[in-house]
Parts: sequence; structure tokens; C-alpha cells
Amino acid sequence: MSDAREYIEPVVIDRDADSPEQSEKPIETEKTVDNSDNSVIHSEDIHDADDPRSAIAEKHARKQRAELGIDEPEARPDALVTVKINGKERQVSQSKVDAAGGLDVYQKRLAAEDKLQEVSLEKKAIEAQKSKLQREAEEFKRWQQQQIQRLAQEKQTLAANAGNATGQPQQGIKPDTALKDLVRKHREALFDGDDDRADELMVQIQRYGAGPKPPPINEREIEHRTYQRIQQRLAQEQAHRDLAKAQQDFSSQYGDIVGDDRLFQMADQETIRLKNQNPSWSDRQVIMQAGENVRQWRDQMMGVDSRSVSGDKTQAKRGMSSARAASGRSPSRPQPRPSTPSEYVESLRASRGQDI
Amino acid sequence: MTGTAMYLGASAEMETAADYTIEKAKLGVEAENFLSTSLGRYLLDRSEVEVERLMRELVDTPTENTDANNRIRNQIAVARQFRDWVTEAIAEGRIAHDELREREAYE
Repeated sequence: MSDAREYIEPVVIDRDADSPEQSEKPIETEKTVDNSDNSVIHSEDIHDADDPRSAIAEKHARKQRAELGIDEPEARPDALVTVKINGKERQVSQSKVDAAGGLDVYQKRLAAEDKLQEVSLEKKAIEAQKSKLQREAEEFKRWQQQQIQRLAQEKQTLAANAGNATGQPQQGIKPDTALKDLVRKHREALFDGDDDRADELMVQIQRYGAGPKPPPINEREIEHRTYQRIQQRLAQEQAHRDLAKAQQDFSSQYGDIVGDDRLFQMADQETIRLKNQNPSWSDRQVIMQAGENVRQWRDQMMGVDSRSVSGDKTQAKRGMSSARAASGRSPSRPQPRPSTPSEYVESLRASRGQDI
Repeated sequence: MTGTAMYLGASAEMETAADYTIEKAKLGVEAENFLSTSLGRYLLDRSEVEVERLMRELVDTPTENTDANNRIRNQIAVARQFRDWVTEAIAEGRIAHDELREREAYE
């Protein structure tokens, strides 16, 4: 019995093949076929069902298709679906949505991931800023120490100069008449044997050139002031970050107000009014309450219940249906009617407490 | 086209007029708001006090003294200017607001 391998040529796998047909190309052999009846022999005739080469060829073809990732039946292109994550619309494949367990679950998961990423980025930025401020504080402390040492050395120098009672004028300093007088009296007291008098005069001579005493250096006070300054700076930066975050949240939650210039102006003035009425409120509270007040006023003017338009987002999401693969888009919410000029003027009057 | 023209569907000339009406209405609101502030009330009271004082002075001035009469009358007119200007702005603002409502009602 002949070895089947005699009849098999090595299979060259074409990894760039992009069609199943190439992988299914039949393996041609050089087998001698019986052509005694002069019939036309085609290459596909070689593949007999009972021919072991066919089985081996089919096995190689399957392996090749698996390596190329070609499925049977042929995979259809994945449809795109529009999902809304944190107020922003994205196009994602239907398969991903299905794999996640549905549109709602997918949206929630992505929204949570976005928020987590945002929070981790903010945390990193805060940590970086904190370490930077700590380094600056340490550098400032080192500089302070150097200043303290320098001042201490100067103090010693001044004390040394004031203690020079030889009567000889120092370099660059004109001899003072009063000092000379003191030195003379001190000499006379020594000659007279009046020690007490001589000691008093010596003390006066020492104090004479010293000038006003420099204030004592309080290291603790310097450290305390430095610490307070750093704390104030950190608090200011935190307040700026909180304000920026509140403004960002306002843009996402009250996009309809931000998109309308007049409503936005109303909300801006409302923030001033609320801040004057409630000085203890944080910037975030003022901004969000202003947005809510403007939205409620607008909905009252248009005769719309605010809860049905914007209020309970959870209820809105539960009522949302999954996007159909054929359309790939979820129905959009109808945009509120823009306010008319007279309504705008009425809103100005209302915000100032005037009669409409 | 501006947002105002978008509401009125107006031509370029009317667009300018519509903007002007809105600006007058806004000015009226600002003027009324100004009178509700401390400074506005103070100026208004000062104006009224000055007018009252000048009126008393006018009553006490002899009729034949035309120069003094004219001087006092001029001073009264000046003292009333501030009140007149502010109330005029408020009134025109209200009228402009009514005009806007009427236009929108007919659209």
C-alpha cells in the first residue's frame, strides 16, 4: 500500500488571503488519472469523496480559515448604534451593546467608566499639585533658614563692632565727638580708680555704635506664616477647581439653558441674586439653583411640566427603548421652543421682582 | 439674521426696528430696577426735595421780580430733569414691551 503522503504537495498558507475562496482552493496533485476513455479531466475531479487526500485537504483548508478568522457563514458587518454617555452621543457597534447586556446597561457602564476616569485624572492632578506645593514649602523653609543664619551672622558682626572700645576709629567710620568724649571719660575714670563709673561708661561705649537692636527672629512665627500662606493658596486653588467643576456640571445638566443666550443671561443674573440672598451658599449651590429656577420659569411660561422634560433622569432612562439595529438611532427628545422677545423681557422683569 | 429677526421673520429694516424696541424695553427694565436701588431712591428724593424747596422760594418771590422768577423756574426745570428722564425711560420701556406682545400676538 502506497503512502498517501506521496500524493500530497506541501500546502502554502497565504496569510494575506481575504476571501474564503482562496483558502478553499483545491490542492492540485500530480496523480496520474485514468484517462483511458479520453474524457476531460478537471482538477476538481481529483477530489473524490473517498480520496484520503480530499479529507486532508479539507482539514488544511479548515485550519487556514480558522487562522484567518473567517467564519462560515460569512459574518455580516456590525451595525452601529447611537448611545448617549454623560450628555455626549457616540456611535458604537451593536455587538458591543449586546455583549454588555443591552443599551441601558452599556450606557450605564460607559458612563461609570467615564466618570471614574475623570475622577482618577482629577485626583492625579490634585496629587501632583499637592506635591508641587509641598516642594515649594520645603524650598521656602530652606530659604528662610538661610535668611535666619545670615541675619544671625550680621547680628554677631554688629555686636562685635559695637564692642570695639579701643578708641581707634574703624575703617571707613569717622570718629564721633561724643564717642571720643565717652572714651576720654572712661580713661579718666580708670585713672581715678572709679571702677563703677568706668563700667558704666564702657557699657555706653558698647551701645553707642550698635544702633537700634534688631528684633529677635521668631522661627516659629515664620513657619506659621508660611504654613498659613500655603493653606490659603491650596484653598483658593480648590475653590477654583470646584467652580470649574460646577460650571461643567451646569453645562451638562442644563444644556438647554446654555444653548439659549437669553436664558443663559437670565441664569447669570439669577446667580447674582441668589448669592446676595444666600451668602453662605457655595458656588455650586448657587449655579445649580439658578439653572433650576430658570428652567422652572421657562417651563411655566411655556405651560410645560418641568419633570416631564428634564426632571427625573432615571425615569427617563427606564422609559427609553433599545435602539433597533436597522435604524441605529434612538428617537431624539423634542427641543423646547425658543423664547420670544416679550417673554425675554418678562423674564428680565421677573428676575428683578418687577410687575410683568 | 439675528435671533430677533428669526422670531419676527422680518426684513433688514424691520430687524433694526425690532432690535430697537427690545432695547427700549430692556432699558425700561433697567431704569425701573435702578429706582429700586439705594442710589436711585436717593437721587429721586434729592430731586423732589430740591423741587419743593424751589417751589417755596418761587411762592415767596415777588411777581415783579421777573429775573428771580425766571431763575427759580429754570432751577426747578433742572431739578426735575433727573426724575423726568428716568420715568420717561420706564414708560417707554413699558410701551415697547406692549408693542412686542402685540406683534407676537398677530404673528
